[in-house]
Amino acid sequence: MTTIAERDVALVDLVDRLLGGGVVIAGDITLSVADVDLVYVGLRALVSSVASAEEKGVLPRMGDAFDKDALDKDAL
Amino acid sequence: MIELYAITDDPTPPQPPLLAVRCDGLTALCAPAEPRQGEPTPDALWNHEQVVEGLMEGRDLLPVRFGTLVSDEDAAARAVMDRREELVATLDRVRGAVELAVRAHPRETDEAPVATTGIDYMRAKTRHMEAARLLHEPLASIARESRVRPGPELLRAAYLVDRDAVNRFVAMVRQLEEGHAELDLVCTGPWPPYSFAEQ
Repeated sequence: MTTIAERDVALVDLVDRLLGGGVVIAGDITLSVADVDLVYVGLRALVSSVASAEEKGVLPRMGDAFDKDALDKDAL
Repeated sequence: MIELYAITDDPTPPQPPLLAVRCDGLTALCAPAEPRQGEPTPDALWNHEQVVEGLMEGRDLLPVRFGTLVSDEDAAARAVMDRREELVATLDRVRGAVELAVRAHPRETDEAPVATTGIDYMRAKTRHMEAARLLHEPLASIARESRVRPGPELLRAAYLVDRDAVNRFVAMVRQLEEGHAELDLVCTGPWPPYSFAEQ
């Protein structure tokens, strides 16, 4: 996980693991598994080059409402 | 507040500002933290991940779910003690292994016809499920354990792989990619064993 492009490709896996995996122990957990989809959508909006990764078919298409044309396609 | 990053049975102290909370043979690796509001940013997730990956280099550990905050060190120790036996057993299961993630998508080409009828759709779906099984089985045979996760892809899976078998696993991913030109494979890792931290 050294370059920006690698990080964008791995973002789905990162979210899956940090928010949907790991030991669940007593404490004040700020996010739950039920929130993962919501967070996922939020992250997509935050990271512009994810759209470029989608264009290349390396990320799933989670919805069509996202305006890919507004983003920088040269980011990857 | 303090945030929990990982549970380990390795006594090596972490680098400050990380701190070790000892509890009967187990150690909770923590750091002082402020409560967060709202959705985490990718940077926040990556920063957390970087800390856990750093800890993983020198020790076997169970990563803790992101955003686990407790009031103080006593509360951290209590939380670990509550599940001590289970955590000890799970640590043994992941010892010496890392997690690798694999996702597979159908490669979209001009030749691939768009399914217009129910039968076409079912045929395409059957073909894709077969492809996912053909990918999963050889990968699972190299792994110690595997978990298929829900997702929009043909296959979204996590594999627990011995550290010294990672190269073999990656070589298998390459081989499968070459054998299935109709599929795109994405393999990421090594990750801490997030998908194998709970029974």
